[in-house]
Amino acid sequence: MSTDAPNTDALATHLATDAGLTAARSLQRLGLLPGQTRLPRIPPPESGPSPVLDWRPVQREGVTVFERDRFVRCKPKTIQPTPSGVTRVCLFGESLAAGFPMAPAFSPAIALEGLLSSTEGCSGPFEVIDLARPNMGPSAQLAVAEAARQIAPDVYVFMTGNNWHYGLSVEPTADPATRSQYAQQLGQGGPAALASTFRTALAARARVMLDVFAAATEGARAIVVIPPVNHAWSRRTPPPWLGEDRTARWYTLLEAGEMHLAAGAYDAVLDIAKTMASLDQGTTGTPHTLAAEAHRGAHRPAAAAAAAMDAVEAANWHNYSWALPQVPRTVADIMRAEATRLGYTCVDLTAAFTAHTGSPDHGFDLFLDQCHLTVEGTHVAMTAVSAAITGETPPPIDPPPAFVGASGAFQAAHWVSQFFPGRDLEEVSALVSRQLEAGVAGHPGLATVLLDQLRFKGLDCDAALHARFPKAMGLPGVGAALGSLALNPPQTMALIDVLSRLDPGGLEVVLDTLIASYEARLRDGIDLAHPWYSGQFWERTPLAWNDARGRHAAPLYRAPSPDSRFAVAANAHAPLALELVARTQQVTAVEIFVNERALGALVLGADWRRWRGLVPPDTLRRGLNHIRLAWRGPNMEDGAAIAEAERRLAMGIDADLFPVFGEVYSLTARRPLDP
Amino acid sequence: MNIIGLSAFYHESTCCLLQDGVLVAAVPEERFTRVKHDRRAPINAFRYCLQAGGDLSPADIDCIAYYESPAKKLSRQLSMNLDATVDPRFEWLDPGAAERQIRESLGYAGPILTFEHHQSHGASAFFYSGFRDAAVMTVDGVGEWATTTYGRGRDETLSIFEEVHFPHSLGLLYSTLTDYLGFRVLSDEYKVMGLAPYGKPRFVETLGALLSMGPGGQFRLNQDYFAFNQAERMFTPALEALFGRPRRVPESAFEGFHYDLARSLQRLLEDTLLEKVRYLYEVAPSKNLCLAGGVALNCVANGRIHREGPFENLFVQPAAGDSGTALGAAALAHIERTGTRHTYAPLSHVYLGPDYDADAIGRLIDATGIEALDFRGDTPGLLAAVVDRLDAQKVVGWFHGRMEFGPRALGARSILADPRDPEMRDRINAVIKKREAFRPFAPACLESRVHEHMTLAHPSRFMLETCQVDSPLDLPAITHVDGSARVQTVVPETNPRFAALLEAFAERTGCPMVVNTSFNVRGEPIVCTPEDAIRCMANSQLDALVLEDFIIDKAAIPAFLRRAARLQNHALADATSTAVDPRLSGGVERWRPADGVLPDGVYTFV
Repeated sequence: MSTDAPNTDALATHLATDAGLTAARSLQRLGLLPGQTRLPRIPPPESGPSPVLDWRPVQREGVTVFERDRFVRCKPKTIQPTPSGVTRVCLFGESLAAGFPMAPAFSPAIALEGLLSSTEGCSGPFEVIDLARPNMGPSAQLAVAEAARQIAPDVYVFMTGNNWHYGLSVEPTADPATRSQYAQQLGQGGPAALASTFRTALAARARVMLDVFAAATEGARAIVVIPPVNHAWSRRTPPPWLGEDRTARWYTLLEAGEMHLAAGAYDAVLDIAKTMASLDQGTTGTPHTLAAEAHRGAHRPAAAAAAAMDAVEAANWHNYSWALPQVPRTVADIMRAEATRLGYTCVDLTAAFTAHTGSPDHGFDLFLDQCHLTVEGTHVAMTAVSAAITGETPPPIDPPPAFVGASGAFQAAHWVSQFFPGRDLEEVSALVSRQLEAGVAGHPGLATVLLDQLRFKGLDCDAALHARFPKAMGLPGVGAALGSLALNPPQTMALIDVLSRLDPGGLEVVLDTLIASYEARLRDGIDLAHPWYSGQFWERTPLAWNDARGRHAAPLYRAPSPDSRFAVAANAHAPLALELVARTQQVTAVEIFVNERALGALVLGADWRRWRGLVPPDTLRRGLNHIRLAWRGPNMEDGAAIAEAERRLAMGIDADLFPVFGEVYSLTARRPLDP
Repeated sequence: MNIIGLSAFYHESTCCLLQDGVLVAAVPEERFTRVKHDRRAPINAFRYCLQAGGDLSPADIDCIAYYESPAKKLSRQLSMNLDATVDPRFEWLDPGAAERQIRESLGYAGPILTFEHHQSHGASAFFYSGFRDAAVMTVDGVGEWATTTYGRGRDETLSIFEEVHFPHSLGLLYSTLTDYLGFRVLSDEYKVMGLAPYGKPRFVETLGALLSMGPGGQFRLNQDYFAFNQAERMFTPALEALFGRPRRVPESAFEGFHYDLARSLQRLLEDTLLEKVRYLYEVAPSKNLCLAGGVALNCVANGRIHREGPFENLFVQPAAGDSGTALGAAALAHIERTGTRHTYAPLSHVYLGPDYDADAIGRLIDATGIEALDFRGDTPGLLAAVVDRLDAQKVVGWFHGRMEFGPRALGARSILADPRDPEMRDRINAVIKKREAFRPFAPACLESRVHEHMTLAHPSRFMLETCQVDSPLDLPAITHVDGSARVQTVVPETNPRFAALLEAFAERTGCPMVVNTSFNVRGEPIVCTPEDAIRCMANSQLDALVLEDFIIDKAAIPAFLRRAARLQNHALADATSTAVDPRLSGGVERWRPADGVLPDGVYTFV
C-alpha cells in the first residue's frame, strides 16, 4: 500500500452522487472492480474423511465411522462402514425430508425404514440414513450429496427442491451488483421482468443441482422425489408496484373478489381473478388463490388444484416469506425430465397423494402447512418411495404414537399462526384452532401447555425464564413453539377459543394473569407498532418479508397492505388512550378503528403527525382488543415508486418494490392517569 | 432544542440526546440488541433517547449530529486499494449509506449536521470537561484521514491545528500488535494493556523499527510492517520476521515473549504520548488537557500523562472510543445551532441509560418463580444484606439505577466482590467472567477515603487512569502485578446507593472499596435489563444478584434457568449462513439476517 496517498477526494465526492455510485455499481456488475476475480471460493475438500452433514468422521478401533452428537434433539447415532447384506438408503433434503416439525420423534427416514423393513420379498434388510436438515440451502445440499460418497449409499433419495430458491431473492439479501442488474431489468420490463429473471435463474439452478447430484451418485441408484404442494394454503401475497394506476385497481379488485367469494359468487370471483392476474402479470399468487378457492367452492377440484399451482408459480419469485418453500411447476418439470435423462426413478408425490385421496386437490389432511406433511402424508409419501426402491408396494405400517402427530399439529399451529397468509385474522385463527384441537386430541397433556403458552404471553421476558417453562418443555414434541412471547393475535385468539371449550375455569385464571400483566405495562404505555402486537400475515414477519428496512428490530412499521392490524390485551373497565405517530409520502389520511368501531382519522403527509384519542370503555372488551388502521391507498404514485426503485437499485441500494401504504413510528396504548 | 448525537456503522453504534443543553440520555445499541459492538443503525438507542426526552417523536428532533464525514472517509478508503477480499459486495463504496440509513431506519427527515471524526472526539472531551480553556489531543486508529490531532479549546470554540494522517497511527500500531498477539482488533486492545505488567520492556528498541518520531506532533509508521488494506490480518510477514515468530494462535497459552512484547508496546505508546503531550503543551499552553479517541481508554498511559505530563488537570471522555463521538457531535451541533456551548459544567456522571422500577422487577421475579428477598422500602436492610454477602467472599451482581454510558461499569451494572480475598481475582476470571486469567480487576472506592489506599491526588470517577496501590490493607484482588489499580472514586452525589453500599462495607470491614467489574460474561455486552441480568447470572457462577430492591441468591436459580441460558446460546449459534457454492449463481443463501437475530420463537425452520 502506498504511503503517499493519491488524491481520491474527487472520486469520493463523485461516488456521493447518484451518477457516480450508479457508474461504480455498473463497473461492479461487469466485474471490473479490483479483486473481483479473487473472490473467496469454497476451499476444496480436505483429503481424508470429512463430515457428512453433521455426521463427523471418527476413528473407532482403526475404522472410520461417522457419528453425530447433535441434531435438533435426536439421539446420537453411528454410521458404520457398509455391512454386507444391508442396503443403505440415504435420504437427502430439506425440512420436508427431515420431518419438520415432528422430527426426531417421527420423520420420513423413520417411516421409510419401517416400510422397507415390512416389505416382503425384497432383497435383505435396509438401513436408512437421514441426511436431511431443516433450512438447508442448495449449496449445503450439494456439499452433503458429494460428501455422502464416503458412506457408500446403495440408493440415493433426493427429496428436495423446496429451498432451491435461496439466494435468488430480489430483496433483501441481493448484493449491490445484482441490484444494479435488477435496475436494468426493471427499467426494461417492469416488475414482471424481475419475476421472469427469477424463474430463469431458478430453472438453471435446478438443472445444476441435478447435474451435481448425478455426478455425486457415480452410477448408484437414485430416486428423485418431487415435493408436493398444499393446494389449500390460501396465500394472499401483495403485488409489486404495477405501474400507472394498476396497483390501486388491483387492491380494489381484491376487495371485491373477497366479497364475492364470501357470498359464493364463484364465477364473479373467477372473472375478477383473471383481471387481477392480467394487471399483475404473474407477479403474485393472490389472483390464482382466489380462483382456486372459487373452484373449490364450486366443487371443481382439478381446476382448484391447477389454480393453486398457478399461485405457487406466481408467488415463487421474490422472497422467502411470500414465496414459502415449495416447488413450482417449472422446477417439477425439470426434475421429471432430468430424472428421465439420467435414468433415475422419479416419484411425484402429488400423483401419489391423488391416488391416495381420490382427489387432485390436496389439503390439510396431508399437510401441516404449505409443504410439511402430517403423519398420514408422510406415510403416503414414503410408501411411494419404498415402492420405487423395492418395486413392491409395502403393507401399511403402524402409525407412530399419537403424541407425534399431535405435537406436529401443535407446533405447526405456532408456525402457521406466524406465516399463514390467510384472508383475515379469523381465517388464520380458525386454522390454528383446528391444529391446536388436533394436538390436544392426540396428546391430552397439551391442554396444560396451551394454558402455559397463553400465560407466557403476559411476560416481559423470555418464556424460557418462566417457572412453568421446563414443565411444558417436559412434554415430548412441544419444541420451540413455546418460545413465543409475541401476542400474535391469531394465535392468542385460537388459544382462547380452544381453551374456552376445554377448561373455562383454568382459562379465566390465566386470562386474568395475561390481562393484569398488560394492564401493568399499559400504565407506562405499550408501543403496539412493535411486530409482537401486529396481526396480519403481511405485517407479522418484518424479519422475513422483503422490506430490507424492516429488518433489525423493525425500526418503523411500514404498512404493506391497506389495513394494518394490532392487538392489545386489556380490561374494559376504563378508557384507553391511543397515540399514533404516522406519515405517508403524499397527503392522505388514515382512519383508526378499535374493535371495528371508528375512533378517528388523521390527515397525513411527509412529516410525522400525531393523533391522540381516547377509547371509551364501552368500545373495549376484556381480553384481546383489535386496533385497525385503514390507509387510503399506497403512499406513492405507481410511476414515481417504480422510478424511485429503479434509481436506488441502479446504485446498489435496496428498494421498495412493493407498495407501502403508510409508516408508523409508534402506536402507543396507555391507561391515562386521569381519565 | 433536541439534538441527537449519533455515531454508527463502523464500531459500536451509539445515540445520545442533548435536550436544551442537558445531556439526557446516551447509550450504545449493543446493550439493547445484545450484539457486542453492534454497528448497525442504532434504532433501539434512538428510540430510547426519544423516550427519555419525554416521548418525543422524530419530528421533535431539531437536528441529528453525525460523527464523521462519510465522503472524506471514503476518499481514504479508496486510497487504500481495498478490494473484493475485504468486502466482496463493495458496500463501502456508497458514502450516502449513512445518511440514508439514518433517515430510513430512524424515520428522521430533518437536518443532519456532519462533523469530522476527530473534531467529534475532541468535542466529546473539551465540551464535557467543564474547562473554559484546554489543550485537546485525540488519538485513535483512524477517522477520515486523521489518526491523531492537536487542538485548543476556548469557551465555545475548538480549533484543531495539527493532524497526523493515516496510515501513521498510534491506534493502528496498537491494534496491529493486538492482532499479532492473538487478540481481536477493535475489541481486545485493553487486554494487551492488562497483559503488559507481566512482562519486561525488552522489545522497545525493536519496536522502534515500526515507529519513528517526526517534528512537532508528527510520527510515522514503517509501512513495511503493516497491511491495513487486508481483511485477514493487519501486518505483513516482515513483522513476524522482525520478532522471529508467527502470530500467536488465539486462545493458546501465553509465553514470556507475549508478555514482554505487550509491555514493550505499552511502554512505547506511553513514551510517545508523553512526548506528544509535552509538545502540545509547548504550542498550546494551558493548565488543562482533554483527551479522547480510543487510545485515551488506555488508563495506564492516562495515569502517566497525568502524573508526568506538564498539564495540571486532565479530563478524559469516559466513552473515549467512537461511542463517545456521539456526545461530541451533539455538542458541536448545539454550538452551530445556538452559538453557545451547551454547558460549562463538567460531566458529573454517565448514568444515562435505561432504568427499571422495582415493581416491574418484582413482576419479572414472580413470573420466573425465583425466590428473591424483597427489600422494597428497606434500603438499609438491603445494603446490610449485600455487605453480608460481600464479607462472606461472595461475588455479587449489582443492578441499580440508570445504566452507565461507556465501557466501564461504574456501579449501575457491576459485578462486586471483596478486594481483600486473595483468591477472588482468579475465581471471578475463571468461573464468573469466563475470561483470561491474567486480566486484572478494578476497585470502586469511596472518594473521601481513596487517599488512604491509593497514590491518587484527584477524583477518578470514570475509572480512566491507574495509580499505585498504597494501602494498609492487603488488596490482592484489585492490585495488578505491578502494584497498580484502575480506581473509580465514588461520591454520594452521583450514585447515592452505591456510595452507601461502600460506606456500609467500610463500616463492617474497614475497607472502603470493592472489586468493581462490568456485569457481563466474556463476549457479551454489559447487561441492560433485569432479564439480561438474570440470564447472565444463570449463565455464570455469581453468588448473588441485587436487582434494585431484590436479592437473588445463587441457590434460588433453578437448574432449568441455567439450561435455558445455555439453550439460548445454542439457538443463536445455529443462525449462520452457508457459503455459496461457486457452481450456483445467486446471493447469500439464507433468510435469517446475518446478525444472528432470530424471529420470535423460531429456533428451527424449514
